Amino acid sequence: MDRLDSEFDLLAASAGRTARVQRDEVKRFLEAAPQSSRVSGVTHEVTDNIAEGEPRRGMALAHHLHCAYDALIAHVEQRVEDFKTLPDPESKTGALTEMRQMVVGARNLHQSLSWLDAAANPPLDLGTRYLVDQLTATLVGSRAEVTVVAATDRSYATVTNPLRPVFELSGVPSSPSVAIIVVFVPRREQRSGLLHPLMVHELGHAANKQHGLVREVLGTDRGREQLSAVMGEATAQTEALPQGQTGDMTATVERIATRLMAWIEEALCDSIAAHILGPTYLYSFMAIVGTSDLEMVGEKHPTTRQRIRLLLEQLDTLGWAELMSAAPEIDDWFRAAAEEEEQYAEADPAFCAAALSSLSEQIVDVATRHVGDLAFRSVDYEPLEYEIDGLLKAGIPPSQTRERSSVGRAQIILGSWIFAVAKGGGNLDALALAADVPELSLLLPKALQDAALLEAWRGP
Amino acid sequence: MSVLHWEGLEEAVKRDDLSERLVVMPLLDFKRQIGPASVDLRLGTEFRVLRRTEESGLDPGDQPQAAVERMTTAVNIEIGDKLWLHPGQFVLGATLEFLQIPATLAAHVLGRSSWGRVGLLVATAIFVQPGFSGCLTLELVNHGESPIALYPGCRIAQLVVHTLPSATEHYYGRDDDKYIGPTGPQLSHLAKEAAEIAYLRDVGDRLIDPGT
Repeated sequence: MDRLDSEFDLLAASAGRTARVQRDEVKRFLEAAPQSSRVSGVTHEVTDNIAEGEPRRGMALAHHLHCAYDALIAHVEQRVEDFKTLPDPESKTGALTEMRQMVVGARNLHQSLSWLDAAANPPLDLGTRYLVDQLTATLVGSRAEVTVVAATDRSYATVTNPLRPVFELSGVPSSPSVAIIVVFVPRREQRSGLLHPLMVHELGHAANKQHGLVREVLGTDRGREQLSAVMGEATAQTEALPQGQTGDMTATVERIATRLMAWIEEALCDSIAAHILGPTYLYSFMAIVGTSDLEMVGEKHPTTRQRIRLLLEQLDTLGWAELMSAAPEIDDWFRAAAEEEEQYAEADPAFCAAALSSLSEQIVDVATRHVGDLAFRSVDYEPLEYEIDGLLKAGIPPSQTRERSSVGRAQIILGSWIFAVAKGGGNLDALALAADVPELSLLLPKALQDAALLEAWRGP
Repeated sequence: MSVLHWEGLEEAVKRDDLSERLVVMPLLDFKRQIGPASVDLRLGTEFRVLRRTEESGLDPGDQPQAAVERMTTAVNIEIGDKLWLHPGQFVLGATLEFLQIPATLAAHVLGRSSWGRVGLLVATAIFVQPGFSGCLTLELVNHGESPIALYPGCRIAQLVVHTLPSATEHYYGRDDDKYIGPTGPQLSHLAKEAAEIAYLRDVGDRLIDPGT
């Protein structure tokens, strides 16, 4: 046996072993699902208390993960067979490279086991979980499963069908019948009032993946116009290069288009969240990013200043201006921030910012169509404003009106935010600290749970 | 002091003034939950299950609150699922309903007979003070011979509401305007008894040795 043969054997054994060990973990999850999928904070001492039955959470992820490991193991076995017939060192070296990728792929899959832990022990309270379920069903579709993971190594992020690369590596087509969505939230925020608005934004990303919303924006007349403009911008940038330098036109077009599409996606998710939650989204967005540079340019995000401007335009159109002016210090700050023009040092972001502004109407239109019945307007809130505020002042979770109808979840979240901001003095400090006011961190989750139950109790 | 009947309960839960209203929220099914002289309460979704630990035992005279917390595990059961309570087992639960008792009323929480007849004890600390606000903690014990399935949302207890001769000025929580009522089961605060138990020890010493 030569060196290539023995190295290949070692790699194949390692890839197979890593995948099998992890697949066993998934099997244990599936076997223990009646115990593990419904209970949070469970330990082995109390599993006897948990009912058997058809589990609900994390099952699609677990089945999909199991299939991914099966595909990977089968692919490794196939490659071992193929290797025996390879005629020359060159083809063996190619097989070695592929097997190394499979080892890395199998090892990288390890993180997905922590997603199963999160499905078994959900980090979110039940009220927030029901909210996520409702939003997912509307925004993504009924055949979708969301697993929320409290992450220590990243901020808010969303991945849809995260196992696609593994299936691709294994040469197996991946088309799960259920959309698998993993949403990461910072562990420090798992019980804070910041969570709800930002989760809506994150689920907007999943909705875009599932329904191609950015493509919808770009499919409008104005969208096509902006896409053509990308080509013009790339030509201009290439021509502006100093003499002697040549630009790769295709790469430039791709770079600008990628950034523009990412920015449209962010603005679209902002718009969806503002449609569903009204000013709450702007408040929580500012509570998180308000302390950073308003003009910081990212590959994936437009500047915070531009996002504030787009959000304010939308909220004003939806009739929220009067309610927002009730906290004048905060409102003035938003409007002053939006009024100032941002300065761009580079051509790409300047072009994308202009393109995004010109597409704002189309973005809002697509978001409006997509949120459907979840749309929340000031006229929906005004009749309940006084009652929600009264309940919160009395320390009562505002889930039900005196007439015993359920309070909408967007109303509950907005009322709780307004209460928390007002309690803190109605200024920017109060906005930054609102998420931890007890009425927001304790009463809001209970109200969300009870309102969801009331809605479901009364039937579809 | 008299017990509120159906009409009295209906009037109390509909009062305009929140400070005078008997708050029972959410009231999922008014017709079914308001009885001739009581309000049915439902089981909540949060539980604290006691577990065996390395602690030597519960001694309110020498027990930090953290030790009490270490003896339980928080468990959430979703609506539609169930928690098995085994014979002899003790679990803390809470009412689904968030209650607020005005200063003119007091209440007792009692188990419903259909549960009692299969051996389920629902509450031992049954009196609810005027001014109480929050979900009531239920001390659930299976005294029967078979495991009992507990479904969050099912009607498990009843609240019997009494009128007071007049509104008390010494209602629960009056001196703490930052007080937010519990939204799930509350652990024992036995550790708060430590100061009084220390005093009792001093009293015991004085009784044995009156010269000290």
